[in-house]
Amino acid sequence: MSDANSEITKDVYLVVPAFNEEKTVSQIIEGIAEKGYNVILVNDGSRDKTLELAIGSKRKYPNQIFVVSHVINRGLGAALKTGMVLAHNKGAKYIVTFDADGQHEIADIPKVCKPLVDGEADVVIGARPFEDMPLSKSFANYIMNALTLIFYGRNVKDSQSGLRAFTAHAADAINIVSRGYGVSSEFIKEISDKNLRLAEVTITTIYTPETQNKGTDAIVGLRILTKMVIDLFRL
Amino acid sequence: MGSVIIIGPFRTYQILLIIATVIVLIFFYRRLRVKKITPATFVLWAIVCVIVNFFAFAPRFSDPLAGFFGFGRGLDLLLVLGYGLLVYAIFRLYVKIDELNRNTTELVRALALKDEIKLEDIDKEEE
Repeated sequence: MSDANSEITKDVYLVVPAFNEEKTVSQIIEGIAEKGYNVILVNDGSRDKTLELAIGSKRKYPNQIFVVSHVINRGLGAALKTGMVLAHNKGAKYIVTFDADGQHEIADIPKVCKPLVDGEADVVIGARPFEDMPLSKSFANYIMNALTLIFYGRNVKDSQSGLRAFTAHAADAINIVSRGYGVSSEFIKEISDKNLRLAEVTITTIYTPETQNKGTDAIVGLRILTKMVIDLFRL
Repeated sequence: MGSVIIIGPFRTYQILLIIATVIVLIFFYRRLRVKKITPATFVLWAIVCVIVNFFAFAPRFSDPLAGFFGFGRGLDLLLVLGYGLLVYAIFRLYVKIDELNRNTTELVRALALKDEIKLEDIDKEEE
């Protein structure tokens, strides 16, 4: 790794929320740390060995892997916010959210950070190509994009992507209250409300049986829609 | 079928309402005594009980009120009012639960951030 590159990676904090991810958590966070990035693993009340495995990974990278744990499960949105607060407290310049289920490529991290480092954007969303998704997922994601446009007036390629990058200033400005998967749409709402500059870059998505079981399907989509409607009445 | 049960001078629903009123008032009085509710809340519930009982025992007085709101019978007005109150109660409950959820999340987050996992602490515990 070049010096210039390592200068950047030490300023980047990856926030990885994990709920019952014992199959993938070690591989993901160690893979990220190996590339020189800092990792904040937020164990969201897992009932399996996620926390123990994360601590094992921390032993290998004590100065790069940081572990915090919710005593009970509070949902994806809550875990992301906890991780982002900690990253901010540790002086992160760039904060990247990264799923722990193994659906993202570590090689995509520099891609989503580049527009931030170049000063072209405050927030970057890693857009998954919908044509690579199973039909049920791509349909649900098209619907969610349409709803995000209708409710929040922002047309994005992938409103539900878990790979996002923020400057410290943008992460500080964004106020997330969603606890569950609705957080993805809420990020878009906050980006619009706070007039943050948004860029989208295409990323690779790895589909495994684990990653297929998570994310946006019809039921999750309906829950997010309900939340969007309720949010309209929130002051 | 269809016959109205009358016990003494009262109809069945009127007797059931008296029993329910007594239970409700005892419940709120006990909560008042242990200071779980304010005297104002107790008085409010007592007034609600008096109004409901008044219309139950003198239903003909509810008809002009129902007519004012465009209902034919006092009972129709009561049903619509009851439905409205239930919807409001569900809304209030939703807001309360949402607030509780947020507070719980804030608490869980504060604990997590305060107790960030340190290898030294784990090693000390193991020793």
